[in-house]
Amino acid sequence: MNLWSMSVSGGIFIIAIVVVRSLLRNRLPGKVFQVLWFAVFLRLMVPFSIPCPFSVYSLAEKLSVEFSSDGTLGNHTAELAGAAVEMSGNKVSGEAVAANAEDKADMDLKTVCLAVYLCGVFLCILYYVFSYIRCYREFAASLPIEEVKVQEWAGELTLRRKVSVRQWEGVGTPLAYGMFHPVILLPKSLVKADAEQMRFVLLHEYMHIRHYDTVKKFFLILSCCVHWFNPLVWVMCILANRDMEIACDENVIGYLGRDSRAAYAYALIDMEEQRGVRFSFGNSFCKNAMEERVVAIMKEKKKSIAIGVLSGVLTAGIIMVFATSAFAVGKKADVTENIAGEVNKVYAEEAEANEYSTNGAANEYNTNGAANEYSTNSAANKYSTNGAANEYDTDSAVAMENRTAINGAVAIEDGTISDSAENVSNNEYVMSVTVVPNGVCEEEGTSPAVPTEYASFGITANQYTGTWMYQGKEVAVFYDKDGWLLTDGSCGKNAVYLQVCRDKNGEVEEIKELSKKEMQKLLKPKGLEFQ
Amino acid sequence: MDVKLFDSELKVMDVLWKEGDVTAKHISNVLKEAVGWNMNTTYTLIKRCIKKGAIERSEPNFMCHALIHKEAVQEAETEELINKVYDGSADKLFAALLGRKKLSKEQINKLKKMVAELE
Repeated sequence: MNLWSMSVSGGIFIIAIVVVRSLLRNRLPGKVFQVLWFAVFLRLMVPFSIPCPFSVYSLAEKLSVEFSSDGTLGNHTAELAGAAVEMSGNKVSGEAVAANAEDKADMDLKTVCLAVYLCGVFLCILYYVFSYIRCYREFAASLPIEEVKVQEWAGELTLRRKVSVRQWEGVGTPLAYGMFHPVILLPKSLVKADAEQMRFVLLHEYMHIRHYDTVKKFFLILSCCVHWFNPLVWVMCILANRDMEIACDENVIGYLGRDSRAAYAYALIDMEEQRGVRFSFGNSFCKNAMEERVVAIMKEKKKSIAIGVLSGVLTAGIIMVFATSAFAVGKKADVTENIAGEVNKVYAEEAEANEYSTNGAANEYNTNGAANEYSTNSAANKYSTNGAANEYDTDSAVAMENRTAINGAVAIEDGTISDSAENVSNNEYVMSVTVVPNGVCEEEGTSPAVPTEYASFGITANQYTGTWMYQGKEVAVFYDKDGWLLTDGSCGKNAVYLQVCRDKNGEVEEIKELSKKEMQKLLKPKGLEFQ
Repeated sequence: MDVKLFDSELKVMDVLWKEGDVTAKHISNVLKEAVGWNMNTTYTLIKRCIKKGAIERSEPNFMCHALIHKEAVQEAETEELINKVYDGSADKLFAALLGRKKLSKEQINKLKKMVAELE
C-alpha cells in the first residue's frame, strides 16, 4: 500500500465516522469515537491492511464483478478492450518522440510531486517542533501554586506519574502537558476561583493526563504532518480533539456522579465567560464546539450493558468495514467469475499505473511498415498486447482473443513486429505479467478458455495456472500459422512444443509435437528466440 | 522608571532584593530549590530582566545587580505575554480550530439556557 492509497482509504474511513458522529454523537459513549479515531490513525500510518470479506472494498469489487459478468465473457472482454482503448487513447501519440517525451514528463512530474510532498511534511513538522519547544520553554518558567486549597485538591489526584499543578500568567485557560512528568498549568486568574470550579478544572485536566491525551494529540499532529495534503485528515484532527474533550468531560462526570452534570456545565460556561483571551481568528466552528460539549455533558446517558454491547458491536463493525482491504475475490467463485475478477484486477492495475504499453507498440506499428495492416482496425492499433489478438479475430480463432486479452499473453502474427513485444516487456504494463528472457510474456494465474478448434485436438487449460496442457504435459510453445504463444520459463522439463498444421481451407489438420530444437529452428527466421 | 515584569521575572528580582548582589549561579540554585526551575529557565529569565533594564550584569562570575526597587515595578499586562507565546504556536492553531474563542454574551446566555432546559 502506498501513501496515496492509505490517504484515500483513511479519508473514506473519516467520512464514515463523520457521518456516524453526526447521527449518533449523543447516543454513544465517547470511548467509541476514541477507538474509531485511533483505527483511522492506524489506517493512515500503517502501510498494510488486513483483508476482510466484509470490507467496503470487497463489496465494491464484488459489485463490479457482478456487473461485468452479466454478459458473456467474450462481450466482457471486448468491452474491456474498448475501455482500455478509450483509457489509453489519450496516451497514444503514435510517434516515438512524443511518447518518449511524455514518459519523461511523467517522470519529472513524479519527482516534482514527491519533492513538494516532502517539503510539506518537513514544514509541518518544523512548525510543530518549533512551537512545541517554544511553549515548553515558556511553561518551564511557571510557578508553583501556594494556595493551600489547590494543593489539597491536587493531592487527591493519584496517579503513578506525579502530577504537579503550577500557575502561569501566560495561559488563558487551564491546560495539561507533559507525558512522563505531567503538569497542570492554571491561569493566574483561576487560582483564586471558588473551590468547586477549581475542583472541576483540576479533575478535567487530571482526566486528560490519566488517559494520555497528550500522546493522542501527538499522534493526531503526526498524521496531519504526513497527510497534510488531505483535508479530511485535518477534519479528523479537529473532530478527534473535540471528542477528546467530550470523552474527558464524560470521565469527570463518571467520577463525580451524574448529579453534578449541570454544575459542571455551568462551571465550563463560567470559565468561558471569565476568560480574557481573545484569539484573533475564529470561525463558526468555535461556538459549535462549546455547544456540542455542553449538550454532550447534559445528554450523557446512564451506562447500561445494552449500550455497551451495542457500541462495541458498532465500533467493531465500522472498523471491519472501513479499516480493512478487499478480500481476494474468486477463491470460491466459479471459473468465469475467477477470470472476470482477475481481469478486473489487471484492469484496475493498469488504470492505476496509467502506463499502458500502447506507446511502445503503437510506435512499432508506425515505424515498421506493418502499420497499414493494423490501422485497419483501430482497436488493434491502440491496444498493444491485443494487436495480434485482432489478427485472430479476423481469422478464425475468436476465442483466442479472450486469452490474449485476459492474459496479456503475446501472440504475434509475424516476426516483423517482434520488437513490439520487447517494448511491451519494457513497459510498466508488465507489472502484471511475468517476463521471459526473450521478451515475450504471459501472465500467470488465470485460466482462460482454449479455442474450440484447438480443444478438439486435446489442448486443455490448467484450471489453476492457466497453462495450456497437451496429453498431460505443459505446453511451452504453441505455434500456429498466424501466431504463437509462449509461456514463461517456468515450464518443466516435460513441456512440449507444438505446431499447428492447417489444410488448404485453413482448418486445423493436426497438432504436431516438435522437439525444442526444431521449434527454435522454426521460430528463428520469424525473429524470435527462446531459451 | 517603570519596568513591567511578569511573575516569573519578579521571582528572579525577589532573590536580588532579598540577598543583594549575587551571581547568576546562585540565583539559579535558590530558584531551583524554591520553584523547581532548571538552570536554563533561570538564565533565560535573568537575560530578559537585563534586556528590560531591571538587572545589570557584571563580570566576573555573572554578578547580578538589581537596578530597580521593588516599589517601582508594575505588573505587566498578561495579554502581552500571551500574545508573545501564542503567536505562531501550535496551541494557537489548535485553539483556533477547537474553538478557544471568547464567546459573546449572547452565546454564553444561550448556553446557560440550554443547560437549564436539559437539567
